[in-house]
Amino acid sequence: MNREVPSVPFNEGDRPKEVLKGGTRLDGRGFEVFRNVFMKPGTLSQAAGSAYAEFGNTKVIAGVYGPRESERKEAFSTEGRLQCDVKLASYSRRERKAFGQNDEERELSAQMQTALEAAVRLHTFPKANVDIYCLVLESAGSDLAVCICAASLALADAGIEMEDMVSACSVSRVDGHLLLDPTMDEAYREDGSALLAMMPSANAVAQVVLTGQWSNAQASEVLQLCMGGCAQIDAYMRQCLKEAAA
Amino acid sequence: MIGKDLKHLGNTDVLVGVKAEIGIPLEETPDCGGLQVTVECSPCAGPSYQGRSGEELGIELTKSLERYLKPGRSGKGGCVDLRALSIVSGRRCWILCIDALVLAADGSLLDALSITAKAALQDTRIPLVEVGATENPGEEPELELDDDPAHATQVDTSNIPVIITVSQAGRAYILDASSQEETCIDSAIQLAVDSSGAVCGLSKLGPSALNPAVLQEMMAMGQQQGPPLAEALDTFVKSSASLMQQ
Amino acid sequence: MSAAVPSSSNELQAEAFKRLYPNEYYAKFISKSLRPDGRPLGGARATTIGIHPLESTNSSALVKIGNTTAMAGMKLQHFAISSDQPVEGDLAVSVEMAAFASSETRPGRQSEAAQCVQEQIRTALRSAGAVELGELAIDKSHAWAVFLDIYVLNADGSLLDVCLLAAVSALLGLRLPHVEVNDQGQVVTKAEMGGSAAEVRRFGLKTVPMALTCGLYSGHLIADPTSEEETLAASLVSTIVDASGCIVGLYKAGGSATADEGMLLQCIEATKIRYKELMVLLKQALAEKGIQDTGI
Repeated sequence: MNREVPSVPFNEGDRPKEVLKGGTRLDGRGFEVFRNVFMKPGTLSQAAGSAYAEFGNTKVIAGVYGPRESERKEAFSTEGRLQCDVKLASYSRRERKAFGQNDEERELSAQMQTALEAAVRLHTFPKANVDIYCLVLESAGSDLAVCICAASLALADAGIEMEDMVSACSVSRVDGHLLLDPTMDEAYREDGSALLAMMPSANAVAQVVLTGQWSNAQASEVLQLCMGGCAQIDAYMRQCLKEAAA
Repeated sequence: MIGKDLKHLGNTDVLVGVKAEIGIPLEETPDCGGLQVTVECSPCAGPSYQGRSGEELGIELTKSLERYLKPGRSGKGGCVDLRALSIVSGRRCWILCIDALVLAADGSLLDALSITAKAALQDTRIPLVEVGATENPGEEPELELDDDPAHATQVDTSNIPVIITVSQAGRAYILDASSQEETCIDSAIQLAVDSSGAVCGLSKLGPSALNPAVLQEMMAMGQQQGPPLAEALDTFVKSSASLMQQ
Repeated sequence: MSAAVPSSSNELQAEAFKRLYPNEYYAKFISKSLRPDGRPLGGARATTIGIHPLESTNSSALVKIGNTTAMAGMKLQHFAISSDQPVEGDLAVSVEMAAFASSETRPGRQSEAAQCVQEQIRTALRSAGAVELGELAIDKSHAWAVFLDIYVLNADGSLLDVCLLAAVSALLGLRLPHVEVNDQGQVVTKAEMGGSAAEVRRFGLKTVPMALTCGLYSGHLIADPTSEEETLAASLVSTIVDASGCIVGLYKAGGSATADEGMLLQCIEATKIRYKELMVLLKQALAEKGIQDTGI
């Protein structure tokens, strides 16, 4: 479009200022309840492994290629490399996003990389690359957690060796309450947030991100809540894989 | 209006300048000022800080620093009180630009950046602004700057945390790792701690997963370092300020 | 998905034969007027259309033809028309390959295949007049700018067919909010001005263009080729027609074989037949979402 006058997004109304009315969440969920979770491995025919994951309206597709030769020239290494790329579809948010990687996507990719590197047995594919790509079709809160779950399921689908599956969830703190699996509206009103990626069977933290001020008691409370959430998601992911294999 | 500070942490050198500009507040948060962080890496800092990789590292550091300093999208939960930066609600506010330059890198970059940024913010003076009366609400407010430094206000830095990286190598935890040490560590956490020792942010780095108990131990170790470091910084800034006056 | 492990040695041999001599393997099927996936030469793959799978968009559509999958989404913006410009809206089309769409795609730059499909769709919708830009006007001085973005999620041949179908499905599902321009020159929904809330205006297409790609393989015409078939085919011909059977676009991109007049006519005929199949599916998909007044 080469117009002189740039177009402006159409304002469809403001975000809710209050996300906890009378102590309940806008969608009626309990504080420690996930949105509807749906996951399915093996949705793409071209990729070595793939998965679709949906937490409420947050929808993510992940695809895995490799182990394969790196596209870039890289120094010799006895360990394999993971390459993560998370993309937000241009229409995934309220405001249209321009094509091309932005800083947020770069950060999401880096966070996902840390979470998955801990799990993938990199020494099983020396010199080679495993590429993990995520596309967020609809971004409605807890995007990174959903991406990590989808990517982990896609890795399992591709048959890449892992120490354990990685599951992830996030929490927003709004008015002192800890809300599991927050929607975008809730995340807009948070004064603190937590993201935890766990390998539940190995009892190991693959990635943790806290923002905002946390007292010691609340910090351990939020980590406990996240660990419980990750265990729930992990059980569901294993069930998905079993059903897909059956 | 301007504060700046140079900090050496071992062989790591960073320079931070703070500039206050008058701008327009975001629509989501009309009563808050703005905060912008930019970290650039000087190519002199080392071969890996040249060209694109240096640029990417700069963005990564910017994002990390922003995460610890900036409040959430609601304007709540930040460590810099952005409300104090408002001039005319919804129309004009102060925007603090924190520009950092990495001159020499020898490990624990983010630690050095956060300490320097805090010192520079402590040194920052914001001039008094008088708002002229406007008759109708659509009109742009008229602002008058008072250039008497005695009337300038200081930024409240009491809640600004410093970042402490706690690295784990085998069964030992180390603080303030040099770049040589950083190559040998299994994993690390970046912990933002305020002067009371409370956690203001956390993020995991490095390829290995962490046992939750180990994570808690590392957090406790980092938290212990917060108050003495904040105190030392305070004394340092005060003594250098009095030196300047002499 | 990883390839299934062949159970018997016969299957193993067939798999090895296919890998080593793909052309001979394929020729054996074609000589029996069949294709490896069991289709006749002129048959297209199973097609599904889902309308409005995404809530964050103003309209969206997910289309699958065989394994090839595309998701189209639309976002509305508005702009002020400068006085010397015609009173009409704008439509921007972009096609992007998701990084996982095929083993050749990498994140970063738009691939050539995507750029090519993008131009073909743009031409079919804009220059060929399927979209009436005047209908996108809000009033004399304001109009809608529609951003139609299509992501190819899985690239297994015949990209144009899938992307164009996703584009028209999303366009037909688009509802323009009822808005007006207030005294300050801002575009606001009628609800804000005290009207009823959920009023919307349906957006129609003058014609609905649809495409079929055919591969030329040693004198045979293969409809709706998969990506494997596309690499084996000597040349590809993509035809876009509208409801009246008029040709909206005809593309033959190089290749090692030429197509004579008879071949091209066959392609056009095949596209017209496919058009009727697709139209039935499209109407069904729209009806499922309660969209009937599209005038198609």
